[in-house]
Amino acid sequence: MSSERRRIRDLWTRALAGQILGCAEEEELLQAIRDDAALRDELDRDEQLDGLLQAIGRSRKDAGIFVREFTDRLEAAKDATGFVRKIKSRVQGERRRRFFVSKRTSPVGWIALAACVLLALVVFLVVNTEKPPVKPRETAKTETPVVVEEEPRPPVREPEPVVIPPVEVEVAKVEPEKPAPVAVAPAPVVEPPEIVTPPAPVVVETVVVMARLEDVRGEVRIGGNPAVAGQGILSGNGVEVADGSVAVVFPDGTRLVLESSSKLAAVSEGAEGKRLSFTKGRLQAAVTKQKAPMVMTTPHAEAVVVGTRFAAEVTGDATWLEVAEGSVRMTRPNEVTVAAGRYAVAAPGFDAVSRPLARLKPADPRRVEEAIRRGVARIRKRVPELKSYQLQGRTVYHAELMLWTLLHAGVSEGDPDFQLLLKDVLDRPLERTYEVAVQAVVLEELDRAKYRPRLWQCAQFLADNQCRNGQWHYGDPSLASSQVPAEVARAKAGQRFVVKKARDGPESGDNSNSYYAAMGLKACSDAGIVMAREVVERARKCWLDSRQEGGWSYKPAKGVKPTGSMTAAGVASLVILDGLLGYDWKQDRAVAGALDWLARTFTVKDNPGYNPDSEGWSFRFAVQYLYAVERAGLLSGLDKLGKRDWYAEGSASLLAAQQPDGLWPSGNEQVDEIWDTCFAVLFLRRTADALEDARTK
Amino acid sequence: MDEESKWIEQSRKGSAEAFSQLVLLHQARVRGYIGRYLRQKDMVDDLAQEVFLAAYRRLDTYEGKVPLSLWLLGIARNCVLEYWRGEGRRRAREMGRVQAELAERRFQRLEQEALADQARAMGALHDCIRKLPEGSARLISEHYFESRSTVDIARDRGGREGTIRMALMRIRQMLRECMDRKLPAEGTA
Repeated sequence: MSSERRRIRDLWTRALAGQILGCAEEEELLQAIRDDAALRDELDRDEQLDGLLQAIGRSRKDAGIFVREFTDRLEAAKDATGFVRKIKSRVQGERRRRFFVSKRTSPVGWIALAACVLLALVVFLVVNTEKPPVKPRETAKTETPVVVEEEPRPPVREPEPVVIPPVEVEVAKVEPEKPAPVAVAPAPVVEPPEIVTPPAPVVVETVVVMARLEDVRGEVRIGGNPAVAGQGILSGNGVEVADGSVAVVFPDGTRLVLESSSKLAAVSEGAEGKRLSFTKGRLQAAVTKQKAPMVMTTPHAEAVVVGTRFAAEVTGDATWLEVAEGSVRMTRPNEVTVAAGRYAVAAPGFDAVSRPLARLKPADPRRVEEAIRRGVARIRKRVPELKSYQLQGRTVYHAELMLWTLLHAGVSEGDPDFQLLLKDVLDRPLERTYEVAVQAVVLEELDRAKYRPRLWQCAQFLADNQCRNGQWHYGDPSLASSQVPAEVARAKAGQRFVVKKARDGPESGDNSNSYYAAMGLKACSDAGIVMAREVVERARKCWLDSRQEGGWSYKPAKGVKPTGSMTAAGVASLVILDGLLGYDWKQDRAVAGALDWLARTFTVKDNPGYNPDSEGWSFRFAVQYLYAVERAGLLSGLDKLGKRDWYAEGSASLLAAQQPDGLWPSGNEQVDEIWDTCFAVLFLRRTADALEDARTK
Repeated sequence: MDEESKWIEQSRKGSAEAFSQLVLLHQARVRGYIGRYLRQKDMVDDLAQEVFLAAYRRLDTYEGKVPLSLWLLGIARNCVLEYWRGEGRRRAREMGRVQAELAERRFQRLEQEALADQARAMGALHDCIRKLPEGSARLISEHYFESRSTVDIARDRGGREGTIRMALMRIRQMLRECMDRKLPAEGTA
């Protein structure tokens, strides 16, 4: 089978499994299906069979639960039907009386008399006909307001606009066996009005019991007073759990479980649906299908729920939302739909993004998100300075790395710190390989069309700073990169440009700059700025020729051993370069050998092969090593190196190492503390999954 | 009079208990049928309940000319189509172009396929699953019947998730070939 067919099948099986494809992947798969009739037929049949198998699986599940739920629903429907039937019967009786009187009238001379009699009869009947009180029903878990529940179904779309007391009032009177101190006013006696004017609904709503408490454990309060099981919550009131837990159950079966140190500040329900104000703690919700969406607000977010199971946690600085079934639409801080198996975090200064829970497992996703927020808060403190520093005689800037980190941490593009960093990056000339490459990665992710001219400049800079042996060095300004060709400035979507060298760099460079350059080349290529083939081939050849014991070091030299960070960099670089050249990296023995080396040496405690005595290599870069491993792992699709789960181990180590102030210690006096913090955040966020995040945002 | 007919009779007189017996008898087929077309798991049981509620209300119209199961599937098909024409299509679009395309093709098949043909296809599939090699049958069972994701299966086996997906595709191909041998060419689902 050709690699192309394999790839299409891989995309197909991912789509069938419900995995989200990137935009380019979607287009590739759809194009293949459109162009190849045989493939289309094969995949159609595969999908059919997948559907049949899903059907068998579905049919085997939870028969007993399904039948019980249906029986409850049937009982509720029947009860509602009976109730409405009574109303219908009364209305029909009313009509018959009016019709009978009208038929007995005689023309002309008797019309006036008959009309008076009729009117008198009607008035008499209206004044003296009293509605029978609604009989109390047995409380059922699925009890619902009649009209709302049955509205879409023909047999019960009967009621005329006759005023009847809302059922909720009767609910308040039910269960005499539970002597809970429910503060409900007695139901008002609704007299048939002389003119058909409904009583003011406001009066009825203020005494409505919205929900009741069940499974009360520990210290639970309503309005500051101790609460007990069976107690009702009035509209506008809330419940607080100091220590323990409680279930808040609505008549329609919706169930909210509050845990210790949690507060549901207010609960209400009207024609527009349920409204919850959840201000702190943890809540688990099982929401039955709602006629009108339920809206939950927290200090940081607003979420719209139609019928689903989810968990929410509100801390001082963020709201966490995790969906188990169905989906929840977050409308604040921004619109994002969170489907089953995914989560989103709403925090000031961050965009809420839907991410898969499974990606971060077995790490605790909440701890990971919190660590990222703390790290970002620390990074933000450095933004206003925007200072550079000197490293081995060279000026190093932080802005590109910080920008990259904030971007992937989910900081909003409109955020002032983000904008400050972006402006600094764009205002500075292109001078150094590291910064230019990271800038290219950031700009391509932000908006490849808008920043195409700048990306062209980055590509030209990288081309002109490739050394003669194929590596990259720290870089020097490139004249050719300072002028953007007119056709690039005018380019339309989908246009591609090839960039060629205008000059060569020095004889050789180092593998660290070469690694970043490869990332920059990929970013530019994704934006349609393609590097000349000879540049890419020369880079690839240099990686292949400079292997040592299956791995790579910072600068190949006799007696110098490979290190973890550079070997991972080599894997990532070759995967990228092979891809740019159209080769299958999975067939690349150098990649396979390097992955073996990484698997044998993987550790979270240090950068393998680090040698403080090695010339030109003074820095441990343990966190950068982890990030390079992640890059290599995600690009090559490997969740494990050998049997080692690099994300699980790396994230556990980083979570333990983060300082209370949000920083990660670098262990290198010469290297600014922000570097390791940025790379730690990038690792935790799994930055190489950026495309998937952008797709689901 | 057989059990099912008794329950139908009692259900017509309003017995919820009798109708629950009918639900128990037919829920697997109805839920399975709907689950074949709706990939949003939260909606499958919801729609299945709608189907049985509709059946309860219309039980007087069931004349016994076709098996009750087939009558129920007819209601199910209409419910699913109605859902698709309303909310279903919109939800599928929200999940991406490929998912929307898959869903469109699924519902086109729903409109075109005969219910009896689908019932035969399910029977053939059950037979073919029984003939699978043990390892393949185990993988099918883990993914489809125990609802384990390919990620979890791969993790437990120490392999790659992509390998599991491709293995499932190969097994589906085997099942497909087995069903083609069992069923006539026109009328396979």
